[in-house]
Amino acid sequence: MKHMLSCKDIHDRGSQFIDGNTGMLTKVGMLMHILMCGNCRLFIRQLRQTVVLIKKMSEQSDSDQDLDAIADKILCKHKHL
Amino acid sequence: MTATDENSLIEKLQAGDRDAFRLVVRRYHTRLLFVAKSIIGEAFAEEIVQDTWETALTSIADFQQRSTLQTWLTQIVINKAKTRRLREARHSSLDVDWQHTDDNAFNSSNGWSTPAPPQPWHEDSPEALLASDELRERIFTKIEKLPDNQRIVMVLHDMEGLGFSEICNIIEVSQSNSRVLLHRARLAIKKVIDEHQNPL
Repeated sequence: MKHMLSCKDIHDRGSQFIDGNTGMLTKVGMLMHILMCGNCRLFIRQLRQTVVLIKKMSEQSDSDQDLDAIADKILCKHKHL
Repeated sequence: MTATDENSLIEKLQAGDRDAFRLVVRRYHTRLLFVAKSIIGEAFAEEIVQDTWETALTSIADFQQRSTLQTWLTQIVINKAKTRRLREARHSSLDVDWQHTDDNAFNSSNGWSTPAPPQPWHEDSPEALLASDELRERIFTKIEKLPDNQRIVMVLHDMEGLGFSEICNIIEVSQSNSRVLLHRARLAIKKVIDEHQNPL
């Protein structure tokens, strides 16, 4: 590695880092930077939380009543069931 | 759901059990709708998911369980939405609406500039953040407004757990571009949280 990674490098490669998609040298460079830089540590932590939050948003659902109405509408077209 | 529960549910579906179908719709409809919306947009999503359920009902007898029921349903909805997207010629350029949101965040040495560094959030867990209806609403609105390809990659990767190779087949961009799109989408959502947690 020719030089230390900058904060902008950490910002631009944050998703690759948390997804484990960086090469070994880049990963080590990012880890070293994050160890020394509180701002980047916070940035990476918040980016991780953002990803978990996005995942959790997909777990929200409509009411059972509304969904049953949708199911019944489809079942009406399939009388054999 | 355990593998046994899933096997039992599939057997009931294959036997034509209407309650089993209602249960599956309860479990997966909202997720499938979200996937469809991410690919084809609000206008056609309901139709695509309804069509998906009809296909599922007619094809469940042939379902070999090489994947989970959720993956199988997601694949059906993706295929239908993708076909419709092609038909509607709803192609967007790679990232047409992208603006670098953090242009001013870095100084000439590429360090965080003052006062741009990340600020701590008051709520420090995703669960606590999601407890705010207002924030959830803002995030949903932002997801809808993301450029098409950013939204598709984020929904399929972060919400549905698809790999980049599958996603690249859907939106026809390279894996490296998909990773860039995903990062941009995540940054956009993070910015919404930043603004909610630290209003100006």
